[in-house]
Amino acid sequence: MKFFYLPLFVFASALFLVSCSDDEPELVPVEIDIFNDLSAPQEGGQGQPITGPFTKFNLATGQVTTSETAWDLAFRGTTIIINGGVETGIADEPARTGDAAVYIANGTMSSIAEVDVTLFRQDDSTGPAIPGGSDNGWYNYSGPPTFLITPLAGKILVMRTHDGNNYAKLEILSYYKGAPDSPDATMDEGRHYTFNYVYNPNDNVTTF
Amino acid sequence: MKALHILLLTLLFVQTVCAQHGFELDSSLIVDEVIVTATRQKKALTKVPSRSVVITSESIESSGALRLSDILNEQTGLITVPDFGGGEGIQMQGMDSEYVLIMIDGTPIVGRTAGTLDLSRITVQDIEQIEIIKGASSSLYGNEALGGVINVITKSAEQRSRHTNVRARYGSQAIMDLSLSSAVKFNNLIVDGQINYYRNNGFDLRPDVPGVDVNPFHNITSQIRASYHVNDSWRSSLTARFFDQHQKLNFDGSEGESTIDEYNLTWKLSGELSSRTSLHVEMYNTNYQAQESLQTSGGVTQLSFFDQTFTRPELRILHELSDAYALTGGSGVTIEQLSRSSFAGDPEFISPYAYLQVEAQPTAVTDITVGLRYDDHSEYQDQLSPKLGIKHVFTDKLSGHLSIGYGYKAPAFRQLYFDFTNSTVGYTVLGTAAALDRLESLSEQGGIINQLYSTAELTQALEPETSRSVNLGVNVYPTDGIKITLNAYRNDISNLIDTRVIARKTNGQNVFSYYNANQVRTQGVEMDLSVKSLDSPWKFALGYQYLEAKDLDVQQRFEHGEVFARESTTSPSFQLNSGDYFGLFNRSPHMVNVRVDYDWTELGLHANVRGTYRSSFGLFDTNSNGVLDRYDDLVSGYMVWDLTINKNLGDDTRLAVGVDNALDFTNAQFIPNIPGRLFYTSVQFKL
Repeated sequence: MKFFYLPLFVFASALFLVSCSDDEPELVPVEIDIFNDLSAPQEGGQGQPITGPFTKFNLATGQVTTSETAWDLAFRGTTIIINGGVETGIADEPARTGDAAVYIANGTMSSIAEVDVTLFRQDDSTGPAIPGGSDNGWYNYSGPPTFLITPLAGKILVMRTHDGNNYAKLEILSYYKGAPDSPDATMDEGRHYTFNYVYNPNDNVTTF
Repeated sequence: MKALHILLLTLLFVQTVCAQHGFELDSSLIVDEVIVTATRQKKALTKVPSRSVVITSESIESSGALRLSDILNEQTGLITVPDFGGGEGIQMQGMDSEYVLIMIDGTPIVGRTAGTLDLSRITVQDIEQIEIIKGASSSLYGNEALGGVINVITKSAEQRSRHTNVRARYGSQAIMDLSLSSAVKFNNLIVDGQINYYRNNGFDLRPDVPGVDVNPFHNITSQIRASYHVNDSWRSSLTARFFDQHQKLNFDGSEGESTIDEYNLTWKLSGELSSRTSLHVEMYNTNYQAQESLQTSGGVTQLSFFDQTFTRPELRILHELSDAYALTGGSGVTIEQLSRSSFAGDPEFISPYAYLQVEAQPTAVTDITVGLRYDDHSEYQDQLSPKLGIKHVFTDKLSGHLSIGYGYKAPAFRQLYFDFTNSTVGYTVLGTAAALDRLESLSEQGGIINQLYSTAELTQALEPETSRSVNLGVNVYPTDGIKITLNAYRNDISNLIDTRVIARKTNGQNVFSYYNANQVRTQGVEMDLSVKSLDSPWKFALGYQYLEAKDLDVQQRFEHGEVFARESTTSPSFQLNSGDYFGLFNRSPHMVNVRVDYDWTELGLHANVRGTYRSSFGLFDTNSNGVLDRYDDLVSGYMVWDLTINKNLGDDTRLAVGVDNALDFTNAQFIPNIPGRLFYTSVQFKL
């Protein structure tokens, strides 16, 4: 029986060698990161027009940025826009300079293993690609009596970055400063995003 | 003046002399209970082929209940749950208040807040009995009788003419209840009436939080009726009932007042056309008006009003074909109008209907009822509601029943005509008939950024909600004095109306409207055990209900692995399995009620202890998936114990002391309708 394994071993070794050959760059492993308390203030609301600058985020650097071009997604209150498509028509939104795209997948961070590029959407004049409003996109608004904004369970934002070359997945965990376990909308400060994300630094690789 | 006093005194004297007997405490008087709600004519409860319950006046009086909510809460499988509007609605076999028809003397009560009919509006002083039919009953009652029917039967003119009844109760929370009923007889005319005053100073379970849980309120219910016996076989009556409630409002920084004015007018004529045929004519008109004014700290006064009128003439003929077969046929028209704040217009519904019911007794031990009702509707698709009921007595120790029925509920006015925008948050709710016009005007003003459904989808008419219900059960009498009832039930509800987002506004908020969404199933088992014996002073009753209430679409999402949850708000999501679905919000899988009565005849003492248990239930989703699953934080189960001691002084006076919620259970956060421990004392005279 031992003889039977020998060819398999040779074949597997060959595969290993091929994938490590100099023709193709070695894949950089992806890792899961967490970003705490991204501050996304807004002015207005409560029936008044919402204004104020968006807080922009770059997935490759894992940092908040003020760059007008090198950003992937941006936050203001519960609204999330992406650097791809065209302006939606809301006040104070940044110009779209990149080719970012997004869709919301149902699953967990570990179960979403591959990007389905056919599902991608970009911001357009009908609204952001990530829909706003309770239960439409990423959050639920409980209304009275608790008035809580809670990220929906099982909603993973799958993204293409602004340069159109890389892919990422992101799960929002909290909308309140310090990501408290049992947030209280009257006590805890809102408009602070905590999220898990995985950025794949390998160009055009659609798996995680 | 002197003559009038003498006349009144004489009347009173005559009454006292004529008074038959006082309190029917004697448990040896086992009367075969009679129910009218099941077939629209008096029928022995043991022969009724549907799942029916009768709560007797003695049971109500000896438990010290004041409002309909108090007594229903102690019945097997029934629970009153608080609504966000502050009302207490009934939940029956897992179905909400909006699917249960509430009647007084066979005529429907209107005035629902978001579908909930507040049962604390109805006094149970001086009523004869409460009749409950579980399961769809639209074959006789049409709209709203989707989950069941509760009919409060007030004392008849003849009963009131036996004695004048005075009752006063006072207790904790400054709750005061005063009741008087009497009757005067002039030859063929009896005029009888009842007046009830109820006051409650409210309560505050959380003194540290601004505002109170229940603001002080008081109300008056009065009923006056003139009954005239034309001759031996024809009689006519005119009944007027009035309800009037005032409540001072004091929320955090806002003050105001809320009032309810309601009247019900009924004219009845009934008589015999032949020895086997009788005719009943009924004209019913009711109006419910609620107003609320609230002055906020900013000096702005918010006014809201609600004005609903319901009119229904009905003609009914009962005909006995033979001793074994009887027909009931009826026809009428329901006219409903509503005018309220935040409404697009003053809508009117007109719904003519006709029904036919056959009662057959093919053998001495089998009763079969077949019914069919047709309802036309000015706004909705017409409805055909059948029902079949069979009761069979197998032996003197065992009988069984099966009832299969169809029920429907036409969409409420608000689901068509609501036009409401929340002034602080900015979302909008639109009825389906108002939606399209309003969306267009919002778009023109630049207030809409995205309409999510096509015009065709938005103009699709709402369909009535419908249900199919099955009740199958047995009554077992193993030995004298012991009765066991088992009933299995299932209600399948289709076209349940829910809200969905139809458009997004530039302010980031949503526009909601109504649509026919879900399939819901409630099913379970009810069990009743009662033990009473002629020679024992003890009586014992135990009730239990098991309930599963599930949205079948949600169940499917669980099965397909599309539902996720978080352990805590900040932990990553994980997938749930089909067994993790807990069911609908605010439903307890297990409910138990127990009652023990003790009669100490020599001392004229009667005491009872009543307990109600409700197992844990979910009010909100706490792990961000919009549905209830076993990882959600549930509200813990609880038990409430009540105790009443009655003491008879002679035949005509009864004293009582009692304590409700003796163990002082409260849950300020999640169960705001249960105040703490309440003591009370009452006195009752029969003159």
